[in-house]
Amino acid sequence: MDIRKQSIGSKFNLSPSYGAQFNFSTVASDFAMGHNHSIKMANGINALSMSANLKFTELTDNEANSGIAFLQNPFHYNAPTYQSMGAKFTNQQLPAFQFENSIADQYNQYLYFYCTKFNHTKTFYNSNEISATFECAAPSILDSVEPKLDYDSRSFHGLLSFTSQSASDTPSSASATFYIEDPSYKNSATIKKGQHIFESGSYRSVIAQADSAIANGSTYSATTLARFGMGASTALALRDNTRNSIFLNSSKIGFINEYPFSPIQDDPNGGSSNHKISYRMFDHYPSYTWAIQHAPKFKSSNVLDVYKRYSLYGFNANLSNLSLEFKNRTEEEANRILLFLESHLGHKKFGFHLPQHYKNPSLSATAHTTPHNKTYSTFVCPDWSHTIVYKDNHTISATFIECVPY
Amino acid sequence: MKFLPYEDVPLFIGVDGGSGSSSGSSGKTFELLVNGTTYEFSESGANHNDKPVYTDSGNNYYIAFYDNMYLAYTGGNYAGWYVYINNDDFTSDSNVLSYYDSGMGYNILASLHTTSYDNYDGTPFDVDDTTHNGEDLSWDTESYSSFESFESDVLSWLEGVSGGSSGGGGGGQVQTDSAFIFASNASLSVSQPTSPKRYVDDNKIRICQFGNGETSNYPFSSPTFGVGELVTACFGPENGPPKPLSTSIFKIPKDTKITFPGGKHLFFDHDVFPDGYDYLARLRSTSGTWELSEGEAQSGYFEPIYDYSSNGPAVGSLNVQFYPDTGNLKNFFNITGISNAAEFPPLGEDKLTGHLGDFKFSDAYLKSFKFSISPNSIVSASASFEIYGPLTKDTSLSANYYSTGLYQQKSIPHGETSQVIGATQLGMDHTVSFSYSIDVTRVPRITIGNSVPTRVSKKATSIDMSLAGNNLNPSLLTDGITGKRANLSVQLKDLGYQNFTGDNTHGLMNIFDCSGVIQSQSLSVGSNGYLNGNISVKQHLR
Repeated sequence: MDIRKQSIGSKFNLSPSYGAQFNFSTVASDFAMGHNHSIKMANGINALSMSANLKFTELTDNEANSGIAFLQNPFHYNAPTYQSMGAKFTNQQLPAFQFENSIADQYNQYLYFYCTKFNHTKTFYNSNEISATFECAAPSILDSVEPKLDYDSRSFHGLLSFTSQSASDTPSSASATFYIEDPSYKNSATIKKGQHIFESGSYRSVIAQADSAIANGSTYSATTLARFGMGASTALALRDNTRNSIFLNSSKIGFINEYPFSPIQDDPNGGSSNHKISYRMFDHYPSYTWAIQHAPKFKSSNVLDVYKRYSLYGFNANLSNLSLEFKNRTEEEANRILLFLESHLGHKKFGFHLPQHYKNPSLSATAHTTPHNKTYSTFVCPDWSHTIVYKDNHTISATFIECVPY
Repeated sequence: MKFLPYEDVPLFIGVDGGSGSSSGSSGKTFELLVNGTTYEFSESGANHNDKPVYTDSGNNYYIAFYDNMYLAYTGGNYAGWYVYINNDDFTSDSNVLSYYDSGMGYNILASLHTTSYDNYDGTPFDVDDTTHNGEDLSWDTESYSSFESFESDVLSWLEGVSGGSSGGGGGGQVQTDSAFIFASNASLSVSQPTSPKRYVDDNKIRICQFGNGETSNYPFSSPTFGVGELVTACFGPENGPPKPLSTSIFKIPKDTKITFPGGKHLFFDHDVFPDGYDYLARLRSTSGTWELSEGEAQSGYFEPIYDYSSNGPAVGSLNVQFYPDTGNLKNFFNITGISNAAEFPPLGEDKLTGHLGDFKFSDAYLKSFKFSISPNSIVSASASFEIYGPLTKDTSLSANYYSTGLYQQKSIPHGETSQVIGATQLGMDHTVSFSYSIDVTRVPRITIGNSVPTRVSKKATSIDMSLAGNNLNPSLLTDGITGKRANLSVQLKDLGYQNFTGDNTHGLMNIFDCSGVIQSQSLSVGSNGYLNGNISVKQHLR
């Protein structure tokens, strides 16, 4: 028996309560070798999926009826209509739908969803609760647009050429010419208040004190805080509206500006040429309590029932499999984490610092690429979840699988 | 310690919208041309950001104040009054009336706003304010430079705001369901569940190099520190790459000490508010001559000021003991009634607003109300409210109250004349005391992005009445297994002076009923005393 409504609208118009959880996972194939070097490969362009477990609490009867009627509607009795051309039923496909105001403010309002599992609970007179799981319809990793490390001339970056600026604890005026190599797509950029503009070749930055838009060929003249000064060097400015997320609201991510250059390290060979890392570092701190389980790979042979012999399996037998929680994050930091993980699509490697004592005391000049000879390690994150606990309080849980970084 | 001098503190409570008068303005109306149709807007009765929400008679559009709206047209955030296409959420640009300009993207139709978020000082302004924080606020979008592309038939003000009134509590248009409460005692408190942010190793300082993170400053090399020497430290594990300070830290004050092994110390030379990009900091030495080894530089400890996050809404509690009079017993204290007779389904979930002294609150809900009667004393009542709305201070509220005629004697029910009906059926000929209490369970619904409930449902509601008298009916002990039914009613009366006009001449003021089952009864007697009977009756009303 269904709740039937004369008019249910084309979009789902209930707003979820706090506690909403959004789950992300990738479907990937592992290409693994005996020494535990592995490569994950996404199984197609729709391999990164998202689902949401939402609760709509304290609904009035009218609200609950509208919500349930909307979710039931695609499943009403519907005599199949057969079309001989193409030999198919033309009215048996479940339609995906959108949320009236996006599934949550920080997510893209244009996402489509299916809902095949929903519960309706009457908790009291005129009080109802709907809990439902929404599957995002056909998200495509082609929608993930991210600049590569360092200067990306295609459509992402513009170059700011700063004049030398002395270090000061008080904001002062800065000047930099702005140049876009290929302005055909967009010929301007916006620097937001509070944004760090990093100098190339170091971790120095100037912090903008106000919003300002700059056009190709013009001069960025603004008040900035250059606590550590700025050399006569170039910096990158991200051209707004060029990044794109599969899931996140573009207005929430357009001005997330991570350190844009290749991370700088000491040359592991002891020389002076191998300083740059070719992948991004995940710089967020996990929350307490952090447990690291060790389950090294090994082989055992039973000569007799009472005698076992154990052998190492592979060159990197004790790679970590971390379950991390990032709790109590602001919406801005949650968006940074979500965008970082999403842009790595569940199978691209990134760097991450383990706690202090997980490191090699000195770099090896000969075997620096193995995890045990580095001060950080590389991981892939095949699945993660995001919970909106309360306003400006987000929790992100993620699985980081350590891998050999080549 | 200094105590403030005693004075009466006025408590004003009313169904939401009723206290608009106490805030100094109400009843504003204006006409607006939206997409070629003229609509007349007036207050909807709801508040947002501590300002009234305006809507047209057909609820086609809503106009509400929001303090941080992103406008794609300019790429900035603005505070102002925006036209919304529904009343689901007055914070998101997804339900703001907008039109799409292929050259500029979508444009939000702002009716009135500050030219940039920087010019907003955090205090919401009224819909008819013409200036804010030194900035002119334009009524006419046509004349406002940022909105020159708006077509006149898309959005324009046809005329200015009319109506409205000013005054403190009791002035303006006080609705009939608003009243001053003559409280003998009132307390207002707010609490919010919070958690400290603590991340792994967020109190550790690891220095990977002294420098700005350049390749030339690897491998690690320590300067020889002298007294007052300043160095730039780049944070991260030895050999890099650098890692910023933790965002669990709200602030690292200047002069915060970092303790390294071997009794070595460095100090932060400036305040740091970590935002996730703080790879560098300037540190200061207060002693010399010493160096840090690479291992020691990885093991600094410090004590920053941590940040907190809230796990739930800030909920206020207003507890008040007062003397019930004719005005404040007939409306919002009546949990069992429906203030709006036309409401369907009948829920009675109205929220209240008001002020205690100069502290104004909104989105308040009555949780419990109780009073007791005993011979030869006036009736004293108490009530408890939960408050979800913002608490603001307006120093004009108390001053206006004392200048009105509301600060006067009122009629108060008295035990001398009030009566309990139905006690004789329970075996009591003479009732010596009586208490009445009603409690309601309320559950808020707070949707994502909001901190004020969109609904606070009214759930289980129960009435408890207790009687003390000279006796009780012994047959009650043996009556039915589903409980002995009891019907009690109390008639609250003032002293009913007949030779006066005005206060305390009304006689019957209110009747409270309880039709339930006996929950408990008792008999007690002591030496040199009388036999006392007690009966407690409970009615599950909802």
